[in-house]
Parts: sequence; structure tokens; C-alpha cells
Amino acid sequence: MTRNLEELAGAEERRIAVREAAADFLRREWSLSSLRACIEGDGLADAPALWEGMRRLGWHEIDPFAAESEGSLGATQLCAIAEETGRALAPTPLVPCVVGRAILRGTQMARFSELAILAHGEGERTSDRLRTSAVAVEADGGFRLTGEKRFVPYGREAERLIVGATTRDGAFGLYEVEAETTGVDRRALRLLDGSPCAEIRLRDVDAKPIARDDEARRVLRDALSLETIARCAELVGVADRALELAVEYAKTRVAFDRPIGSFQAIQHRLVNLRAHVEVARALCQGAARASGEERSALASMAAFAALDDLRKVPEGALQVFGGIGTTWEHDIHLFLRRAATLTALLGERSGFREDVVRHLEETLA
Amino acid sequence: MKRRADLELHLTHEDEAFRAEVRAFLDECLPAGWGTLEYEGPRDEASRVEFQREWQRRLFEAGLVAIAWPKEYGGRDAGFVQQMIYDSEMARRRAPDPINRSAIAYIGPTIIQWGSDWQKGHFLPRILSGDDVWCQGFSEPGAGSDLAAIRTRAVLDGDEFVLTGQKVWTSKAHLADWCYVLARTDPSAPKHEGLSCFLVDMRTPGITVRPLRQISGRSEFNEVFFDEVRVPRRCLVGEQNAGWRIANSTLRYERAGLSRTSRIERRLEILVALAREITVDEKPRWEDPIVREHLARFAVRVEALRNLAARANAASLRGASPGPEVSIAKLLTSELDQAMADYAMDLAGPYAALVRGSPHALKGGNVPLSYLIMRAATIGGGTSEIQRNVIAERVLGLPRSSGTGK
Repeated sequence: MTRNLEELAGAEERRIAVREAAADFLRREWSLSSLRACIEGDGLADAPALWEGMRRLGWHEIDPFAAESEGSLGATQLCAIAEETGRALAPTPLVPCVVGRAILRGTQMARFSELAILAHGEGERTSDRLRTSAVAVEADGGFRLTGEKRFVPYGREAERLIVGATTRDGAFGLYEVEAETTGVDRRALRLLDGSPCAEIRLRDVDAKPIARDDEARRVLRDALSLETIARCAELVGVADRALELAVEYAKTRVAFDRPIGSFQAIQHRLVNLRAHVEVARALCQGAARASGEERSALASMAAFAALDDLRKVPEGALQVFGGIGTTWEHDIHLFLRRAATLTALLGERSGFREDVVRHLEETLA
Repeated sequence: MKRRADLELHLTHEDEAFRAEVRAFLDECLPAGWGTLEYEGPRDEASRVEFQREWQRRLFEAGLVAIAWPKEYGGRDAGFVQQMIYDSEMARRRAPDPINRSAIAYIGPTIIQWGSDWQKGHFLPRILSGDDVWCQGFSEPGAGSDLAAIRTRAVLDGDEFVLTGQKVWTSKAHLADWCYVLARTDPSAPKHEGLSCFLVDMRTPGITVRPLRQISGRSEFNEVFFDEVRVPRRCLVGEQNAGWRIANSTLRYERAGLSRTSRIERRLEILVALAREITVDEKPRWEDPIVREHLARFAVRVEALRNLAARANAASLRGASPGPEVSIAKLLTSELDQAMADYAMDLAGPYAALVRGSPHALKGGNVPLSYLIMRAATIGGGTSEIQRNVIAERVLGLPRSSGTGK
């Protein structure tokens, strides 16, 4: 897809405006002490209130597949906001909510109590991102689903779940189930960063079909690439802010009668970390601007880079803080926890690698 | 596990007998199941401490607590080969640390090298027996990598020094009977020349200990505040104002101690176990050539460091002050340890995010816990940056980078 520079500049202006609005909102509405409450095991703490604020701003209505125009928020803006929620370490269902709405074509209000969440992860790891072991059985003119899903963000908070499943004759489809219904068993998984996550068991649960066959596969693929890009953007934000804190510290902390930031060992470390952030951000933005299969390939590139490099940024930042960075009361470990969690849940590296290599083959062919 | 190649050295009868002795001791004294990946051991801190005290008492009674120390101070004058045997047997059985490990590894050797006869006679036996637990007060909030910038003052008043200041990252201070303290005795001298080392009774009035919570959630370190703490003159180590040299020899002992390899050997084993257990696409990670490449690289480095560290360690524990080469051992061991903990996160995929108490957490949530704990490996005992400075200047003989002082 080619665009003229003017269009690009306009999109860039809108991206920056959205990012600044998000940063401003999060500065006012969210603090790391609320996050500490989540990590210490107080459940969601202030996260639902934060989400209500974001919803009032209309961020849940982002249509990530819409052609970007002045009036609508697209994937680029979603990434801009996700980057800011990453920088603020704000636990929000923004990404799963937008993904869910994109699959359901935006039918829901998306209050905290109305989230429709894609439940796709499973206990058995696979490099085939579309794979699902859930089974759908046709009965009484409808469908019934059985399967086990794991690592589902906001899975216990969701009102509805979106699940991919295969019928006995091998037909793949996407289905919607009510979360509070017989046969659905949900329990919390405890994550390193305190954000909500669930394991969900479905036993013979009533399900409504959303899409079938190739269309279902396409919808799921697009939803997963979108999720990947947005999570990478969030990781970029986490890394970026962690690095910023380390840079500030390097300017003020004195050792050997000089700011430690004047030592090349520290400078080069910080520069390398900045390069990681820039590379990942560029890949995210490129993927967000693309669509369809191209977006899918670019999303895998962003994920591949993110898995390689972005967790290293708060790791390196913590090293710059030295001893103080290893203490609970210092904030840097909150960034490390979030980056490690997002990285862990981003997806299988081997899957992304194969996507990238396939794309390479196709573009060279 | 198969016997390791280094023990295929030509062992004398004496060495063979020594190995048999260590093995018999471990057979008799380790709890059943100890050292397996499933064995959890004491979980809360109080019982862990009690366990380590008891373990040290048993080592002491068997004469196995500090074999490389000179005979006259309660050691065995063990040489390199026996130290290797000892380390390797302890590592093989995952033997726990004695409560006073750090005192045995670096405070004792410092006292042997620099202490007065009274200090040697009084403190060394009690370090060995574990009757006194020790901590070390070097770092301060404003003096970590730049240790010589410490501000804790010691002023001579009659026959006592009066100590005032704050120390940080003091492990075991909340348990310790004694603290080995670096303080400034001459504020008018250049910063490396006005320092002295002291042995301070932790029960002296004026000492406050405040625990520091680490990012892992544990509290193993403390801040220690000294408020006009009176220390008898006989507790000054070596000459007054000669503290920088003495402290540096302690740091080298410490680096040698921190480069022991039992922990990285253990971590390699855990990595292999994880790689065998974790599957992607229904195949164990262990079978993936990319994973094998990583594990092979780790294994080769662990093997190299076992040799490198054993040499540094043996020299150090004998009281032959180790050279700056120990910085290489410390640097490589801590970075490898951390790299392996990081790689465990990569191997574990989504399970790396599950902490203790969560359904499906791997090995009780140990993968992310070790990941957090290992952040400190490249910071404590001298950051990697400082180790590289030391190596550049003292091993390679490069010009000193401006500002990094002595």
C-alpha cells in the first residue's frame, strides 16, 4: 500500500494528538500505587474505575480495521493509546475489548461488566496461532462447545467469550458464549504483574456461531494480529518509560564525582536500549498502518523483535539503577514485571519466526 | 549424575580418602530427598536460618567447614585439588550453605591476612563454629560502585572509635552478632587514604537495623544505622587509615566467593529439566535445535567457570589474597547465572508469567521468582560495570578511565 506523504503526515498528527490525550488522561487518573495494590494481591483495585474513564473517552470504540480518516480512530491510534497505557503501567482491558468488538463488529457497550473477550490461548503451546482444540457439536438447531482455554486476559471479568472451535467434520468456526452460564468454569491465574487473567473450562456450553470456515479463519487471524500489534505497542511503552527513568537517574546519580551517565559503559547501555525501543516502535507503527495478510506478517515481525529485545529494556534500566533498583519500594521492578508478563503472553516465538520467514520467501519470490 | 571429568585428576590416596570422608558426611547429614528438584526445604526465613545454623554446626563438628583455612585457625590447609573435590561434592549433592558462608569466605580470610593475634584467636573459632554470625557493612546509599566515597565516620575518642553513619545492602544484619565495617577515619585525607576497617559488636547501643524488601518480595538485606556507636580500639583491623587496601582484599575474597559455581550448575540442571518437560507443538523443547544450541552454550560456559572459579576460590580460602582475575570469575559467573534465569523465562513461554500460588505455575513459580532474584547478581558484590573497570585496569593494564579513582 502506498500513501502520499501528506496523508501520512496527517495520520501522524492525529496519532500524536491521541497519544498526548491518553498520556494526559492517565497522568490524572492512574498512579503506580494502585498498581502495587494489584500486585500485592488486592485483585483489580482501581482498574475498573480507570476503564470507565477510558470508555467515556470512546477509546473502546476504536475500529482497528477501518480505513483511517479524520473522524475515526484506527489501529495506529489504538497503538498510540496502548503505548501510553504501557508507559503508565495501567491495567486496562483496552486491547482485549477492542479485539472482541472487532470480531463482534462493535455491538456491545463495553462497560467493565459487558466485555466480550476472545478466549484463544490454551495450556498446550503451539506455533500455529489459529489452532484450537475446542470442539463444537451441533444440537437442537444450535451449537454446544467443549474445551479448555488458558491465559485469557480479563477472562473472569468478561460477560461474553469468543471461542474458536472445530466441529466433528473439521469445520472451523468462531462462537460466542455467555460467560455466566451452565458449563462455564472460570478461575483466576496469578500473573507476575498483577493483571487479571483466567483459565476457562467449557463443558457442553450453549454457543452462538459468529463466523465459519475461511471467513472465521480470516476474522481470527486479523483479530490475533491486531492483538499482537497492540500488545507490542504496550510493551514499547513499558520499555520506553523504564528507559526514560534510567536516563533521568543516570543524569543525577553521582559516582566517582561524576554523574554516572557520563561513563561510556552507562551511555552505551542506554543507547542500545533506546535502539531496541525505536526498532520495535517502528515495526508496530508499520504493522498498524497495514491491513490483511500484510498486517499479519508485519505483526509477526513486530512480535519477533519485541520478544528479542523489549524485556531487555527494563532489565538494563534496572541495572543502571543498581542496588536501589532491586528494592521493592523502587518502581522499576513494576516495569520489569509488566514487560516480562507481556512478553510471556505475546505468543510463540517459533510461530512468529515462521511467519517472518514465510513472508521473506513470498516477497523474494 | 556421572562423575565429572575434573575429578579424573590423578588423585592421591589422601585425596581419595578425603573425598570418601566428604561423601560419608553428606550421606549421613543431609535430609532425605535433599537436592532433588522436588525437595523444597524450609520455606520461611526463620526455619531456613535455623536449618543453616544446624548445618554449619555439623560441618564444624566434622572439621569440614573451611577446609582451605590454615590448620592453626581451624582449617585443614587444603590445596586446590581437595578444594575442588569439596566444592564438587557439595555441589553434586546441592548441600546447603552454612549460616556464616560469607564470613568463612571473606571476613575470616581478611582477619587471617590482616587481623591482630587477639582478633584471630577470638573471632576465627567463633566464625567456624557459627557461634557468631557476621554481616558486612561496606556499601552506603551514596557509595556503591564508588565505595571509597563512604561517609560513615569513625572518630577516635580515648580508647574507642565512635561510629556514625548508614550502611545499606547489609545481608544478615538482622541476625548478625558482628559486623565488619568500613568507615572514614580521616576526612581530610584523599578519599582512598582516610579509611579504616572495624569489627563491630551488633549489640552495641546505637545500632538500628531496618530490613529492605527486595523485588522478589523477600527481605534478605538491611539498612544499618550507626549512631555514635562505640567500638574498642582492639577491634580496628590492621593499621588506621589503611582500610582501602584491606577492604579491597576483602572484595577480592568476596568476588571469589561469589564466583562459586554450585548455583550455575544447579540452574543449568533446572534449565535442562524445563526443556525436557515443556512442550511446544507436542514436542519437548529439548528436541528443538535452537534450544539445544542455547543449552550447549550455557553448558560449555558452566564447565569453564567450574575450573576458573575453583582456582580463584582455592587461592582465596587459603588466605593467599586472590588477584584481580577473580573479577573475571565473578563477572562471568553472575552474568551467566542471570542469562540462564532469563532463558528459563523464554523457555517457559506463557508459564513464565505465572507466580507462586497460581494454578499451573511451573515448579512453584520458581521461574519468574529466580528471574527477579537474579537481577541482583550483576549488581551485588560489585556491579558488572565495576568488574569490567577492574579487569580493564588491573588485568589488561589499560589506562584508568578518568574519574574511577584507584
